[in-house]
Amino acid sequence: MLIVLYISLIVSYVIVFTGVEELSPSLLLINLLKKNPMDGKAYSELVQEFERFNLIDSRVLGLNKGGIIFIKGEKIELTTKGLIFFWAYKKLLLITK
Amino acid sequence: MEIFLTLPFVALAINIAIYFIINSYTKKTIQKQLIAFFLGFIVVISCAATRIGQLEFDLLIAIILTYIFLSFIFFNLISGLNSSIRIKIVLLIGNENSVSLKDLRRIFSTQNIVDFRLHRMVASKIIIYRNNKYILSSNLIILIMNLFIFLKFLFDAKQYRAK
Repeated sequence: MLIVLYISLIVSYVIVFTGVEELSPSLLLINLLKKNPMDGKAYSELVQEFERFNLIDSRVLGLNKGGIIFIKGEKIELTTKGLIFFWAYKKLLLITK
Repeated sequence: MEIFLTLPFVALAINIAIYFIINSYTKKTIQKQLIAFFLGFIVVISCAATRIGQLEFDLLIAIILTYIFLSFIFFNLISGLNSSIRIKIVLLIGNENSVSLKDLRRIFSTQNIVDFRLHRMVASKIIIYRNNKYILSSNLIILIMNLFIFLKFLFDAKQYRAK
């Protein structure tokens, strides 16, 4: 039981760290709205605030570093490791939809 | 006692089963997950309560914590599949065989990202739309937000706070 607890704790830590390390759009949105809890923000204000953060490039770099994708000139493709993740995600999506 | 050690997995299986049953009736992801989690949690607590005195207290705590962490992993698996940009990028590249960075930026534009999250949070009633503005309606979310900021500080990760 302790081994299972330890492993699930480690996996949970990895999940939390991944969420904390990257800029989460959901938490960014909440953080922006938190500043004006009573008045809120208009859609255009939210989009403008989001424009200041480069959400895609950092993730592409992260995937590249993690060996999930490789960048060939202007094109981005999946590595073998990336393909394994791709098929796993596809199967999981089928099950959960 | 060995059978009792499978309790976290049994409760997780109940959690998952209830999630998929509720999935047929509602698309509110967070509510589904919370209901499924709490029903599994009730099973764990109820069974653990029957063994107080028969089993060591720290073993009972370990069983409860194992269920909580396993549920957390399942929760993030489902949430991640629905909303993680990284997973969506991998799925897109896999489906198209190759994609340019320019196309990625176009598909995952700021507007698309904001739209998706606003839609999800309004559907889950975390945010409400009133007088042409989006307003936070959940104090619990603010608490979770502050916890993440604290974790970012602890992990010495990139600066997160929007200026």
